[in-house]
Amino acid sequence: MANVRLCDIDKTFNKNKVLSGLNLEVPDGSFMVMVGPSGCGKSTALRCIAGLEEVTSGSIYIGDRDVTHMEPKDRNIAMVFQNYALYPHMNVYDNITYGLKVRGIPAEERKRRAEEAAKLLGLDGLLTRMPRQLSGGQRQRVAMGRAIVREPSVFLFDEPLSNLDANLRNQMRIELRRLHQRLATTSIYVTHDQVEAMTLAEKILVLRAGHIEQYGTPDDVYLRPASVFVAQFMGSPSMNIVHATADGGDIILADGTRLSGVQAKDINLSGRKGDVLLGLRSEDLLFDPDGNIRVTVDIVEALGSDTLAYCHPMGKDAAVKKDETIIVRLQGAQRPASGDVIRLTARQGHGHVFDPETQLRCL
Amino acid sequence: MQDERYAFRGKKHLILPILFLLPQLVITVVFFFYPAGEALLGSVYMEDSFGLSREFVGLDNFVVLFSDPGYLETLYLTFIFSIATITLTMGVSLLMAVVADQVHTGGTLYKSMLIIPYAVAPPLAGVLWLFLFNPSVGVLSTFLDGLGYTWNHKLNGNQALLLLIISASWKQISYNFLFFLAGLQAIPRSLIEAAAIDGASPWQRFRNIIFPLLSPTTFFLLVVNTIYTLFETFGIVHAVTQGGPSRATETLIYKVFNDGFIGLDFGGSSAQSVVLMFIVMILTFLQFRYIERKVNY
Repeated sequence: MANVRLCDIDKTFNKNKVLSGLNLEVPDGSFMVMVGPSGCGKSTALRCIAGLEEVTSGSIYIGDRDVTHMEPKDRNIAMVFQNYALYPHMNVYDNITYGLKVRGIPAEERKRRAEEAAKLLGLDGLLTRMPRQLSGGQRQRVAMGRAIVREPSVFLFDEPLSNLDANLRNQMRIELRRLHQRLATTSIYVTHDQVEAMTLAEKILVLRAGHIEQYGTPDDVYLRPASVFVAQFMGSPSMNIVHATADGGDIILADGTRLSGVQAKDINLSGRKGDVLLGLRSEDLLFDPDGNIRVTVDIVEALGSDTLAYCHPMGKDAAVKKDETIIVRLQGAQRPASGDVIRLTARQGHGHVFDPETQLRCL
Repeated sequence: MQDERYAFRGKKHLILPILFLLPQLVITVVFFFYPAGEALLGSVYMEDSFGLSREFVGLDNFVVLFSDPGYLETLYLTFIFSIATITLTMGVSLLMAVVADQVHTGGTLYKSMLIIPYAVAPPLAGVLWLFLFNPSVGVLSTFLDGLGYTWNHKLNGNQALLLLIISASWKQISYNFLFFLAGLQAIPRSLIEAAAIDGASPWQRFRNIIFPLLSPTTFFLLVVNTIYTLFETFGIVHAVTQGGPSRATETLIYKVFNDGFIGLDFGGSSAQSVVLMFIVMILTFLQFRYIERKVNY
């Protein structure tokens, strides 16, 4: 049990800055998910914590220990790899207990721990199988078992579910949550899948090009995105962002529509005048015959439970805004046709306003 | 349904597949089966030195062979030579491959240089070492002389054997190195990282993870090297020692040549090559039978 702290972590590969000035603390026993597009440095950050990569500068603490220059084996961590990294020539039991064996833990103790982990993960009958005889989900469990028996102070996960099919991924996600509730070991989890991030995390770290874009609870990140990037990265479909103008606490859309009270409570528009970016999630735009926002429907995607309408804003100078697409989530029965003009209202208190210069949330 | 998967069904379609196989079959028959058959046949005849007449003698050639203490010495010598060469070759090339696998800057150049010896013909490889160890002017023998050690493989049989082992290994290390390096690079990095996190020391990682995963490569090289030391080292022996001094380095393959083409004892020489053939067959069989079981694919 330990917290993890990163202090001013920089990592450079051949003059290529991959991580710059990473500062964060993962509280003891929490589940932290690092998320970001590929190449944002999330895996590198994880590998630095594991000790598989040396940091260029800065320090890493696990608990009270400065582990910055320690070997991976001395950091008391366990890692689950994307491709599971099971030893192909060892059976499940040997895979799970290898780490205990090289650390000189007696055979009875190894057996006890392996059986306990196998029971926890539903691997009971598989201990003598070879990795190649296992399915993807079973291999995944063995990789977890190998991490669990070590009883480390931190679990590191490097996109562990990305090689599984969608159904299995959902199932393993729930198992992972259950496991974390039971073991309550500090966990750091890397993924590019924002659904995984939202569902698993107690804390989400959104990384972009090697720096922290936002670090907070899933609610913080989803309901109060700190930047246009976070707003568009988290949530599916991605948040609608339109150019607008702020005026005395109200927001005026490009076609002249005035919206008042749309912005979230934490956004402060007093004293702000001029261009802003308005972000509205697809579910915060409501189909409403009396609504003041008019859009033309372009493409309709029926998803079963609801329908996504890809629309273009309408107005006097519609040609100027053709490049802006607004995605609206409609309830199952509502199915406008392509070319229809529909009216929408923005939900009160759910709009996100960003500064067009800094791309940051207007606070 | 299964039949439909074969494009060449029935007798009327037999011509085309045979034509496709023919070039390979011709080469195999002419260059492998025919000479092997001739050797088998020759081993049961006694032929005069001019090749004018021959007489069927049954297994007499083999009886003579195995009652000759000289031949048993040759067997023993070949055994020592093979084991030493294989051990030296595989040990050094594995070490080099493991080290080369860690090199990042200039790795390609380093690896390319290590492969060069493979392009050298065996007799030339022998000549090269012959120059280095020339008793009167060789660089290495002069150096050894300076240390107070007299090197003269022309007089000292053990030194001659050592020189052969070194030159035969040197020649074959490149080939082994290439395969070991490819084998090492095929091992996923994450396995070694997982072992490092599990707490394995570099030696334990090598011993428990890398070496077992290399076993298919190691096994293949063991078979290839066995055949190499028994057959292909002829050129090196011929260039370096010609089996001397006083037959101290006369390996099985060199004795086949020596007795057959120099001594003109064709029957005896054929019998020896048949014995050699069986030794290789038995060794290869044993290797597949017993060692392959321990290989992890």
